[in-house]
Amino acid sequence: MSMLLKRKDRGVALIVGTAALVMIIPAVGLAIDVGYVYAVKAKLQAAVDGAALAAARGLSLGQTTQAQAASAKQNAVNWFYSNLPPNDWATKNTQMDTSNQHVLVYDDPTNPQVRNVTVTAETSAPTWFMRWFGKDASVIRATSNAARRDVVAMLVLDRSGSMGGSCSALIDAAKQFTGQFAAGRDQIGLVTFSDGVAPVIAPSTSFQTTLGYINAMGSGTGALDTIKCNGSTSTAEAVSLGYNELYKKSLPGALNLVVVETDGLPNTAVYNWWDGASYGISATSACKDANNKTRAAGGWATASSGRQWFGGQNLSSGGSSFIPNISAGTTGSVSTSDPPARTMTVLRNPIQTSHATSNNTVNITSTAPGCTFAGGTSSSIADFAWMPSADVYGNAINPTSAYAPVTTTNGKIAVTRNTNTDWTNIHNAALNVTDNAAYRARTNPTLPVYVFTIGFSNAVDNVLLQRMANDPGWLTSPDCVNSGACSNYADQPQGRYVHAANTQELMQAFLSLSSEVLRLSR
Amino acid sequence: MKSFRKSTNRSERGNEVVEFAFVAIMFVPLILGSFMVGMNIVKSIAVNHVVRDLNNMYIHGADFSASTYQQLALRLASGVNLNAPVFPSGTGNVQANTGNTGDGLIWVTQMMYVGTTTEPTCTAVGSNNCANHDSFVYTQRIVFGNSALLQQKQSTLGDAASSTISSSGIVRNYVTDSGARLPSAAQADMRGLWMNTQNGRQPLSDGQIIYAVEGYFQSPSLAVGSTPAKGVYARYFF
Repeated sequence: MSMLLKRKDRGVALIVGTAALVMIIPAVGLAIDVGYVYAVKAKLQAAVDGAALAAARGLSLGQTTQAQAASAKQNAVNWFYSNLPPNDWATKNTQMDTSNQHVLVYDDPTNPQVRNVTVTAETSAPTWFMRWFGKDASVIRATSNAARRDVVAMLVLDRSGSMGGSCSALIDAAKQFTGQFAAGRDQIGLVTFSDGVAPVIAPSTSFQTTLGYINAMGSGTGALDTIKCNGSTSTAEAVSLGYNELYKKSLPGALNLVVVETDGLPNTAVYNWWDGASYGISATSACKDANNKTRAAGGWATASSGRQWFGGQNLSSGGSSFIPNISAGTTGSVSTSDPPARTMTVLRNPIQTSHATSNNTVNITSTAPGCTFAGGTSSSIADFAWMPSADVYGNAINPTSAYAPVTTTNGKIAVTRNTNTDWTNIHNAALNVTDNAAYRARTNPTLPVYVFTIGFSNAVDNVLLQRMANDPGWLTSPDCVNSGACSNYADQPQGRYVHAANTQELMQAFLSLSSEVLRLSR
Repeated sequence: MKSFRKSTNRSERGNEVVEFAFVAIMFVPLILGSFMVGMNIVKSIAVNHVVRDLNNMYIHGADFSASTYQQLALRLASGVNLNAPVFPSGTGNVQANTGNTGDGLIWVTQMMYVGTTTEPTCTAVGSNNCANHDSFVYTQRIVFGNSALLQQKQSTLGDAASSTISSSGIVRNYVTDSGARLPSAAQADMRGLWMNTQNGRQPLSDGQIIYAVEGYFQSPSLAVGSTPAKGVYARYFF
């Protein structure tokens, strides 16, 4: 018996092992084939993802929505095959073209400001082991969706005197910016500023015609080409007016944003010297009210005694308005439509941006009918007893978490007639109202918007522009680390700040922000 | 029972070992091969996912030259052991944050196609100054990870070493500075991919931007002896 067993069992392990291979090899082969299919599926999915995102980007190319849809489809095909060329990873019969079956562009059914692109592709991944069992390939399909929100943007461009030598570069760069967006769908408007703000052009879908543009399809001229650079830097006012144009459009389903370009420090703000109870004219000022009385003679006592300085310029838009579109209601509120003309005693206060012995005059304005200022035609802070707590747009001179320190009494700056103190207060107030204008645009509960900033030249305040954009990318920069004053509000729209040292970088900065906006719009 | 054992011990001693050896000749390569192929497939899938996700982050605004986003990338790729040095305190952006630990190296690239001298990108700087017409140029390049892996794998898009590049990876003067052009091999590669008309493709137009992320990850656990294991490379254009 034992001998029989011995002979019979001899080589059994070999036989059993070999027989097991018949089962094991297909099992291992199946695992490898399935793994390979998964690997190809990952490649296909990534290729389709890339195609969908590129297609969404393509929705910006073209002068009509049909042309944009065609660009989107072409981008999808280009990007797909660049990520997964034919026969890559031994794939076969790859199906991808510009037909609706593969690239479908359609309006979002719930948000009229959104267009969707759905990309579908398929390919066949070969099998290496399963073909022994008659399965040569496995068909894989992948789908990806990308959406593009329409963009509603206001360009807020600095045309102050310091931009003089770079004015044409600014125009070209801004036209390159408008050229990146979808005519007929996106809306772009324009505010340019120096001492004052003009023109204010509301966002419209025909922005390439009204503003001008440059892109791969061609170029056109418009309001951007008429920019002339001179004067001071009234940044806060321009940001507020730019934001108000977005507010009037009221398209919360779109991507709303303000793009601010400046080459210097804000040195002008617009203040209303009537605080509801009295005017801030100094008792020693020779400036006369509408009844030709000085403060010392009992003038400037009632609201109606105020003068409309900057005569001939009302506060409505549509004319040669110096400060258009200020709300007819409470000073500082945003308006949903252009307000009627009204009288306000307002002055802009251009100040020197640097403080030095020979450069420390605090000018208030150049002309104000009825006033003989202490400084003659060049007015002086000595004509005022205080400065208001906010500019006419409601931007606070000393808000919570103020950027620059301002000494206030009952919320206002008390004029000390000490030039050093007054200069510091008024200068910092101009910085704060600018910072606050951007903050209020980002935090308006009805229409919070992104703020993007471009600082041109080395005279700009990087920290202020970072704060305006609420750009987290700058938080670890030496400027932010050293000052400790940069903003980081994760619950607010986080824009981007780009610094440009020269005119060529200015163009790159605009293009870089347009890419950023187009990223966010997806 | 005793005699059975004795006879087994005498005449069949070592039979199982011999038979096992025969079977092992078939099984061991099969198991090892399956293991190697399986591990490489798993690694390939993981690397492809990492590179795709990083590009997705990049195109949606992630700035990988900043510590915050780089830490996010390291966390995302922790499964494939991506490592990069910690930013020194007070450091803002770092264009090439590389060390010699970890198994991966990432290249993040933004490229632009600059058209002919009569097209807007060139005319904006003056046609005569447009050194990079009809070329692909770097507009941003960021690198992080283990730079020792460059001995195994170079970026297929070149190294951007000749360009003038800021700490945040922004390439300056990319239209006028010939150093911003992709090197010839990469240029040819990109032309092959982006400027052909096969399969319904159309050449890129002036000013079009491509966002690319490349990743190379070595597989040290699969190294045999002194022969380094092959790594996995993935590249996606978004």
